[in-house]
Amino acid sequence: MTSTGVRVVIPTVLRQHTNNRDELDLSAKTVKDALQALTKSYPNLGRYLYSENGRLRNFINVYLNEEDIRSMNGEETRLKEGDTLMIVPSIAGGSVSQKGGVSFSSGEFARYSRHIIMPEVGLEGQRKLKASSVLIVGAGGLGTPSATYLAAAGVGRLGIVDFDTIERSNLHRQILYSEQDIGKSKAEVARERLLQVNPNVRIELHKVRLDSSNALKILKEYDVILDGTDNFPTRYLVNDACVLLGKPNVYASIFRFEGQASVFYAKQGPCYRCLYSEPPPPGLVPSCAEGGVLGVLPGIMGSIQAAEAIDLILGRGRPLIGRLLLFNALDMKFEELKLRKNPDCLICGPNPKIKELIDYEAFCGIEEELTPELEVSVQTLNQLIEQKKVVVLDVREPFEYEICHIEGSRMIPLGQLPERANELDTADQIIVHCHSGVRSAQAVRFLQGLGFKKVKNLKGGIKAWAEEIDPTMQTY
Amino acid sequence: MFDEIDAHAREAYPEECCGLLIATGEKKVVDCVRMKNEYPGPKQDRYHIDPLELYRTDRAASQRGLVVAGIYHSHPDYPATLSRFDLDHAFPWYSYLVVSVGRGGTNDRKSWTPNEKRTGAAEEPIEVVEG
Repeated sequence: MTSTGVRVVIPTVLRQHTNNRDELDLSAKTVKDALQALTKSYPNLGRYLYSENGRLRNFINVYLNEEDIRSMNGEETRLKEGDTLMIVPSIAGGSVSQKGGVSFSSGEFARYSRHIIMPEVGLEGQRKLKASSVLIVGAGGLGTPSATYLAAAGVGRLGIVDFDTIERSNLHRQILYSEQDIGKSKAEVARERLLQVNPNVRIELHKVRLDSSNALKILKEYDVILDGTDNFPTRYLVNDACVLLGKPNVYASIFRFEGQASVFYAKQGPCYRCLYSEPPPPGLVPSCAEGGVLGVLPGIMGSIQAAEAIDLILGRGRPLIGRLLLFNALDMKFEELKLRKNPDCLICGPNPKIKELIDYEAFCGIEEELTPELEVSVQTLNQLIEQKKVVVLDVREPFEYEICHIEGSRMIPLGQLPERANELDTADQIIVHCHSGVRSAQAVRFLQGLGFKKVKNLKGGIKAWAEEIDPTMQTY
Repeated sequence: MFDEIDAHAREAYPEECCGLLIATGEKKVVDCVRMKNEYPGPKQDRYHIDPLELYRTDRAASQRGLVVAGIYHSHPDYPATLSRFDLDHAFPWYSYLVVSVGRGGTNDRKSWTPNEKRTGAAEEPIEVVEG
């Protein structure tokens, strides 16, 4: 059996137990072997590192080449020649357990009793929850379940960032809202419902679009940030602001049947930019509005975010730092990927290039809207159809076409347009439409690039058509 | 050095500050190093030191033939005693210097060595050696 030469570094203060040496070279195949060899040679040291039942003491961290062995295979992690093992105590403290500050009414004791009786939470943990604050960015599919559970759990202060109003198409997943709320402000309705769930929670509303001018000011006031956004510019903005402020970013994203979750906390692990240094080209990854999403999915992923926020506040368990959780609701499967900090990360690496918030719309290549002369209204299209002067091109998917379509339109899904553009005639006046106008704007740009000069976009898509021209049309 | 620790406690108020005490093998403190309070939640009554930052400071001390012999932290609006929470997280091989700090400035400081079972701590005298 070959053995491997490794170096073990112990805290200077323990030198007295190791003949005044704080670096020891020994042979071992795994972390466990190394620690056992160490304590065999220096029994006094063993007493400090291991508890009576032979387990590595709480609050003792072991790092292999500056990486926590808990993020590898723990004590079973294998060693390579020349590896360095470091024993580092985890030093924490604080005055809270004897300090008043946070107190509970008898109603709150009853409300949180199922938490308090668990040793992992206890009164101490419940106090921490009440003393803490969480900001939820986006009160949508992810934000509504997470806000509900966090309010119910007794988080003291919840901030909500959302400037949107409730639409009927939100209701299959955004569980705080009901039929009678359509048209109302999401933030306002969320506050009303959350206070019904738990009136002891302080709800703070930020009815603004989060951008580079206000993000730091808003995020700064909260302990944990929960990213429930549905677009790349805001996701990068939230990440960068969290890195700059040194706050944990509890992330989740959803698409169709698949979800992802992680905790991006640059102080202890990778950030979102370590995982995705650049956004995908605009239009490549469809939003929920374009691609659809299973209503239950954000319920699951938002609940995971709430549980992670609570773990972070309690300082218990093993949060998803450095781990990406993947969930598939069709196969009903959870998988986990290990994430590493990118040493060249532009914002959280050792030589950051980004030191303040940037223009995230430009960074994500979000193009400006089409100029007005490239757009037509549904009324104009209606006239052109009556005059039979126009080709209506529908770039939605076949299943969308089945739900509703404009009489006489031709369907070429956006993805097939490059290979089927030759079916169109540059001499025709072409009006392109999709569901709401995003995909069709891309199609207009694409066709222009091919030399189509008489191509325009239908403003508001078939949704606007149904609202203003044909109210009998089935919508979605 | 106490001035430096007091200043740190005042600057961090109402949050807790924390740092390391660098000493000779005989526990003669010769230097103090500020650590960032990495606790992710509210810092008014909690601190946490990044293990890798501690490691690097420990290595630097070792190169100077010195030892990280203790930890200092502040208790905003709270006495300079070790709390139950402090004890639960304490290591018997370190000295724990606690500085009580209020709105008006620092009030009191005491140094403690926890016993091995973490059930209590003995106050240890702080001697100021001039020069």
